[in-house]
Amino acid sequence: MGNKNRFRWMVKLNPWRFVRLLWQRHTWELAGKLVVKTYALAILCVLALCGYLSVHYLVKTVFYPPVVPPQMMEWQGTLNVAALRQVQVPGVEQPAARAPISHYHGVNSWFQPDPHNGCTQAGCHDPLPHGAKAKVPAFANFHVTFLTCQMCHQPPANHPAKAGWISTETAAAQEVPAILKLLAFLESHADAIKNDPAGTQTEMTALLQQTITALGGDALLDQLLSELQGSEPGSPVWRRAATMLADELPQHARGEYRAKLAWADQPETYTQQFDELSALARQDKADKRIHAPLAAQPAACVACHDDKPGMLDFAAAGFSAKRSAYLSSLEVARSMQQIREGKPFFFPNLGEGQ
Amino acid sequence: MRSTTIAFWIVLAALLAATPVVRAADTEGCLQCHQYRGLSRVDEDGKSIRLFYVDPAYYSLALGPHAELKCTDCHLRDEVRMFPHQVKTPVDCTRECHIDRPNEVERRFRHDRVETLLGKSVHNLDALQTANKLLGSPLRQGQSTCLLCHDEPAFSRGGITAARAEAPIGRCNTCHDENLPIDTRQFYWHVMARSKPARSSQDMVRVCAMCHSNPAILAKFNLPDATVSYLSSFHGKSTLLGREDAATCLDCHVTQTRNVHAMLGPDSNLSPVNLTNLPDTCRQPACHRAAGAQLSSAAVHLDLTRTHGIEFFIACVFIGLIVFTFGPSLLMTILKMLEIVTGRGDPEEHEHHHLAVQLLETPAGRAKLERFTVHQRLQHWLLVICFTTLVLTGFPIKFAGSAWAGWVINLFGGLGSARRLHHYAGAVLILGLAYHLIYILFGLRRKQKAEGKGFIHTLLNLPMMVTPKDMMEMNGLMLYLLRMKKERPVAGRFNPEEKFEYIGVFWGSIVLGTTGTLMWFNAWTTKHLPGRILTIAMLFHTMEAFLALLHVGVVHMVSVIFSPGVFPMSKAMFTGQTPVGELVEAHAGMLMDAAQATGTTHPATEASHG
Repeated sequence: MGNKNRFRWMVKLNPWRFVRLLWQRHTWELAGKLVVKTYALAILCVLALCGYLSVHYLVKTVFYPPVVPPQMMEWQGTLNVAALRQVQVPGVEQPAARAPISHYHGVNSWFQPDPHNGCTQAGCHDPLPHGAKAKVPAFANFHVTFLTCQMCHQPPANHPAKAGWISTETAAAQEVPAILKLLAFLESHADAIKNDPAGTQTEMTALLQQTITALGGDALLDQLLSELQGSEPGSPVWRRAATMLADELPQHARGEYRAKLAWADQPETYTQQFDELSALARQDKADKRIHAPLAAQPAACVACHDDKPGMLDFAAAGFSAKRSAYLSSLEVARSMQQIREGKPFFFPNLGEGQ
Repeated sequence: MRSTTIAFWIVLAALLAATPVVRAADTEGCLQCHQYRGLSRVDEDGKSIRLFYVDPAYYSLALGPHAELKCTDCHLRDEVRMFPHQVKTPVDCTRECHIDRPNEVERRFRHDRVETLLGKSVHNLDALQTANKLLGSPLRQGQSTCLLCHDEPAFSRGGITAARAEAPIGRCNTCHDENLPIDTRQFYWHVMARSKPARSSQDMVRVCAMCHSNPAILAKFNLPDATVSYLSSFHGKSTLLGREDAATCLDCHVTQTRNVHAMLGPDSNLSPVNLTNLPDTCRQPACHRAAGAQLSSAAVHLDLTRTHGIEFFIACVFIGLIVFTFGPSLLMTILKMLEIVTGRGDPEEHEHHHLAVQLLETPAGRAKLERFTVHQRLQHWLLVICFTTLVLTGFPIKFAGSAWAGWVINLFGGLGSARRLHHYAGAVLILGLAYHLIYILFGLRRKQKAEGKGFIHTLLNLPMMVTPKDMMEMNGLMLYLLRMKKERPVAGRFNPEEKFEYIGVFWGSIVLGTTGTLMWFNAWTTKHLPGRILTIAMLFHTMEAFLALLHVGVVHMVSVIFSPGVFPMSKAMFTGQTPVGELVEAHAGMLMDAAQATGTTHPATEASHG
């Protein structure tokens, strides 16, 4: 009996009974009142905030020195290394209204950042990784635009090795960049474009559209696309645009593909590499683990740019026959090697309009 | 060395031959390497980047005047023909260069005249070198100080696409062939660039802002922050909102026909901003041609924190006005919300609620409780449309530096059309106010005839007229909300808050209308009044608009839309019928009057009789 009395309060606190009690006392009415009170409290807070902000604004306007809006002070004195890690910096990924003060030549979106490159994004190497130690750092750095680090620093044992493209936007393997496909198409279908314009129209314009997207817009190619799409295949306007496209396109294939070449036997996704490298860098174990598979010396320029079959099969990587021949020509190879070795040479007639 | 020379001559030939289109301007083959954007390296300091990329399109499409030059016109031939380049001498912008046009004799050119003009201007070499130092030396040792303001000069496209330009260029080529040789494409864009600056107005101001808003430079040369004061003027706001024909620093500080490099300080008699020359500068043909000479005394560089004149006094008065009018209204609205949160209610609320429901059930009761006639509702909606338009087209100008401002202005098709709409909406508002006054006068006359009372008596008894009783009611309401009084004052058809709001609309429309008209017709204003009136009008306009926005946007919106008693919206301005909650809370006197007129018994009376 005593025990029953002891637990009576628990019976009183029976949740079901409590719910029934609430129901009987107009539960919905109570809930409604609670909602109204909460809403009124929210309005009250908003009103108080409005009042504060208004007075703050007025006092600031009249009694405190005004400041120039940030968008009017965004010139960069020098383009600094730290800026390369920030996508939003004008002149890195967004077009800049003018070049950094110390730079004369106009730059518009000059750097295609690679947010998935573990070597640079983990904070160990700069996005322009080749510095004073390299013989020709600028030449090496422009290869960073379209090659993964492993292409030179982890060369394959057997030549020629297969290479594939990795998107710098998604870090996943992708097809050959559209601009290279289009170059190859224009070369291989030169006769068809002349004799069967309608048959080539769809593929040519589709590839051109993809090319423009990858380049982040291009006024001249845009113009040619609209001419090709807006005219009758085979008409004088169409033929003029097609000829101009074939002439102009090589000038637009400058390694800015939003994709990079990587050896096919290496991990397929960049993201995985990035995560691993970042983790190792954080654990300060980076040096041995990461650099162990790397070659003591990076591959020489002539390893690829040689008239003999080199380390990379350009044609298999999607380059057109003409471009492959150019990239693996003896002249290019020799000049590259000479530049790499830092041996001075000169163009005798440079500056004389030759 | 001989063998390598020959080898690289072959290399160059091969490189050029391998490229299907050989760039006419790149006769030296430099772009074979320099066309790659990634051609760059970290400088010796380990922080800055040296960028060697040159946009090939600049030369192939002749995007600027320097496209006619060879690289070795600027870079010393002997230093750059070596590979790797052995550049030791920085580029000297005053070096002689050679303009090489197809079918034309090569012309020699140099910028030495610019150097002479610059030397005599406020931006002389010493000043520029000091500025570079105070900016943290962005220019490397020996780099030309021209780079502080210029990068690669580009032609303006003037809104014309390259494709559209082909037709006129083609027509020019009809005559300008080999008989009358000229590079028409180059000529076309060059002339276009002189007609319209290549840089946007924002970019031009940015160049000046770099130094003229730099605290170290301002302190060194004892200058005020000219950028910030410019940006607070209408010229600056137009620039911020992306208007390409907005007056920039160069438009006022350089006479139109003179070279921009010959900029002189305001103390010089030849300076266009010298006080004696300023009236004519403002009235340049492309600017305020029809304005009076007084226009020049309107402030283009107004900084309230520095100039403690009448403008500062007006701003202070308006702050006081805002605090003493908006403050109590806001406080009352907050306290009303607090009433709801704490659950405090008027003891008679239940009875009033019952009475309101009872009255609204009968047609006679509903008619008595109609607070706004159709005519009044139409006038209100006209006011709503005008006010909203004025806010949407005016406040982006006030807050031109904010990101949202440009977005809103672009919704109206740019600053030009937004301003036009603002003017028209303002004109309609004034006409609406005039119409309302006529409407009141007619109503007054009708009432006067019906009641047989005098004009003044009838006027003072208009339903919206503020009387001493309203002041007492307002005071009583405040005491009630502050819990210093138990009973809520009972208001009639229009409560004191509404009456004050109504008076506020009169005051606001008159102030905004007058100052807006003065600014709109600034040519007339400056012919008949001192130019400073425009600065004062601008301050009155902007401050009064802010006050109006606070009252309408915060207090009025809460009472007719967001308040729990009327949410999601009071139907009063659609049907004329006020929601029961609002009637009970703010118009209990009207309920009792209606009950008396329709013979409806008050529940409290009923209960006491029962």
